[in-house]
Amino acid sequence: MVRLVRVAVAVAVIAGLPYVFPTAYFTHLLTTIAYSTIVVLGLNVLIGFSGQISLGHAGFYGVGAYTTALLSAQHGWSLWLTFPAAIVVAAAAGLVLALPAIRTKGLYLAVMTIAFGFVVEILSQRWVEFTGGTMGVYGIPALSWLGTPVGGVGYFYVVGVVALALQLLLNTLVGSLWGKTLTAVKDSEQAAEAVGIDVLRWKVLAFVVSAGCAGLGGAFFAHQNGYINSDAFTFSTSLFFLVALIVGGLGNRYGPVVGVTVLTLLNQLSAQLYEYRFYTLGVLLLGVLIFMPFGIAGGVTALTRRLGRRPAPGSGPPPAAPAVPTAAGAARDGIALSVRGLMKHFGGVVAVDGVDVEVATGTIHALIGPNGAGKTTFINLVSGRLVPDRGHVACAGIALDGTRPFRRARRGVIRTFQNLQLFSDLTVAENVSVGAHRHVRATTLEFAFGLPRARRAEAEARRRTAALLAALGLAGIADRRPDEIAYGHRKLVELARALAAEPAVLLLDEPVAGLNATEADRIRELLARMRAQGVTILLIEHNMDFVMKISERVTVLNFGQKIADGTPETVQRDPVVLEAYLGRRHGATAAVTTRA
Amino acid sequence: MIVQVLVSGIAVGGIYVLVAQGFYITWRTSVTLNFGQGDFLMFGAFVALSFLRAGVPVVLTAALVVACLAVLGAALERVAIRPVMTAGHAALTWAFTTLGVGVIIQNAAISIWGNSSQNFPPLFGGKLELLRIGGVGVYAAELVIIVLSTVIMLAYLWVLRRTLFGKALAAVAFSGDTAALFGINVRRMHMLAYVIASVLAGICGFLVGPISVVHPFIGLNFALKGMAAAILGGFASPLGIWAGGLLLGVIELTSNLVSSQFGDLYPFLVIVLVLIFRPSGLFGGREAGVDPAR
Repeated sequence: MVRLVRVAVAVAVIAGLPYVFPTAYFTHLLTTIAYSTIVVLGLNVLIGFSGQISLGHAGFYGVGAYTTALLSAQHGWSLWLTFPAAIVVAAAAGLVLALPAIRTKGLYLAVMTIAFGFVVEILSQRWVEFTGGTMGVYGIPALSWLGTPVGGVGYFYVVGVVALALQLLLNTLVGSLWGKTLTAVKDSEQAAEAVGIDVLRWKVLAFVVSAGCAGLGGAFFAHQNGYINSDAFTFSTSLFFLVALIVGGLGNRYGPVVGVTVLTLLNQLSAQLYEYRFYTLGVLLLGVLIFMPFGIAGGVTALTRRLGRRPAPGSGPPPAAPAVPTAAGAARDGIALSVRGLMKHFGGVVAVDGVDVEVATGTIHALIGPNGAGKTTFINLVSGRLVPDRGHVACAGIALDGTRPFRRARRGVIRTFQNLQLFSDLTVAENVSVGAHRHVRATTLEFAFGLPRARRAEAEARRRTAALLAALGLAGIADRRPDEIAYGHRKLVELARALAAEPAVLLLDEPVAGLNATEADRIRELLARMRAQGVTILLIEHNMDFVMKISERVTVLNFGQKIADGTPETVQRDPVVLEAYLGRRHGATAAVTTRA
Repeated sequence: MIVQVLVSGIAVGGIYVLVAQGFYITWRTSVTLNFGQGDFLMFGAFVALSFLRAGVPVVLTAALVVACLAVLGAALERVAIRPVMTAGHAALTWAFTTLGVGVIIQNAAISIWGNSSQNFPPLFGGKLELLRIGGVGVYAAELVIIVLSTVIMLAYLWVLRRTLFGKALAAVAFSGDTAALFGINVRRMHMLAYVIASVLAGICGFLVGPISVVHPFIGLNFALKGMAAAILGGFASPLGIWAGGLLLGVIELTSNLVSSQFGDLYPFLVIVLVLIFRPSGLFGGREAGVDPAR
């Protein structure tokens, strides 16, 4: 209901704006703001939410503009066809650029996008037979309705309403599980893959969505004046979009419209002050980034949040722990995880040297060994983060060899990280909901329009998250971000995120390191409960008290080799193990007790 | 004709090499670089032009350009890099801030020197003076570029490999925290890397002046070619980048022979192809802590 009122207000504002200054010039300006907002909305999805960079967005904008201009002016296509064509061609350009660029991120991606923008600029300038070069394309038909041109104000209404619709769609998207998933990819690709997110696919998707928006914006630009030439698609156009986004607020929903409006008006105002006009872009870029990194909209959001902030709810006594949801119907017998002859070397060092491990379904299996024994490498090999030189990994009889980490996660092999990898821009609750990713079936469009399957996925993730947070005593801090909570809590959040995936096999890298005794006990109880529900757990831990109490079976690694394998009791008395831990002389007399 | 193209290509490539070394040295030390490097080059060219027109001798002009750009490089690190490397700033913020400084410099150049193309006074005999060497005509200015850029590269390599300063830079590149434990002032190293990068750009501006026109927008092109050279060299070793830059220059000049309409396009094609098929550069090898693809 509130939402409906908001939309009604927005429509009323759009309807009223042209009458603030009823001149053709002002209407033209409004239209420019509207289609530039469309472009920057897309740029925000890319930079603000997926964490990738584009310094060549004028390229996609240009592709969209030329597509509709050439098809309508020279081939007589209806605008009903050329607009979709502009979106599709620009999105395709995004796909073509993203596929090779995506493997490289950061700097190289930035360079690729600059190069792309430059290529479009050169082609639009020099490929005169096709684009008209600096002479441009003439006679691009204006938008008309039932045979009469819609006119300046009418055109603004069309562009404005489309921009509004896009804003609403993107609001729904970024507010949904879809948006959280994209943010997760931005914050930690490793952790995202570890819960089954196909990181490459999501990054390409962000590129395609972003390029499509730029293409649509470019198409509206082309039909505004009925004429385009190569001057409109230079690096400074890319820079304009970028600065607008940054000034408005990177990663803020309303950053695009705020930034574009401010920047466009500023350009118009300072056009009179000819001498100073040029400085605005650079000074704004530098000033905003250094002094208000979240931009104008980000500053406003922070301000309202501070004014409206209620005292944080006290954590209180944890509620009675409800059952932790797990994969239903997990097989109770057989081998959940089988590792044969696993081998990995780094340069001259053999980190894991032909290790065989079998983990029985529904048991807790510990992997111990002195520092540098190859335990974390082993987990990385099993989870697919590292590629072994030799050897095989299978989960419930299905070979995982050669598959990427997210595929293994989708099979139910879920891991945690020794150095925590939480999604820093998501709240505790959102971190955990993203963990359920492998069970989400809804597509981007379903999320954008809030269709039933997306809503169900959303509700299901919420339910599961609430249960897990309650079970781990985290409900009181559900709305905090990871950097606002204590280390022990972060550790629990990471465990909760892994559990949200309903793992078949859970790989835990030092689950109780750095925790106090109470917290460690809580984890021990939780893991025991997980085991009772049929989850198989393989864990690395240095806390021997913990390991010996909880595990059915213990495998000991030293210098990459398996030196012992058996029940806690037998391993504890094994002279080879004692020697590895305590050295030759003491090995004969001492016994492994606590914390090696 | 072929020799002529080769010489021109190597001369232009020498410029790309120096720009690319500027990218390399700051990337290696601080994992950031100056997206406005091309504008620094342009600025160096204009500063040189102004001094030369005022009748300042060539050698003194060169010294003044170096001094100006050194100050500019230090200021860049202080204003656009250091403030945004703290928590609370998005990962690639430095890319935007350096871009911002570049735009400001570009605009400053427009208000000081105007928007039009300008020509250098003939320095080393000018663009049109041909020298006959073994029956081959070579432009004097190009020869000067080749000689000077080679000398500068050798000096640069010597600094990196043989001096204590070069070793300190390498230590910071490997691990800033560890280097700090050994008493190296990491911040100062970052700043010095920017000073070197910026001076290299300034020298490039001074060198390209005589063989090209100078206007406020020449920067981007050189920055992109410099980046392409660094990518060809895999961002991994100064020698690889040297080879990559010269190769790029020769490719560019040769492709201009084939088709001048889209001549500028080929270097970008090279970037894209290298990034697709050999992201670690043409010359393999990779040093610790230097991986722009990650």
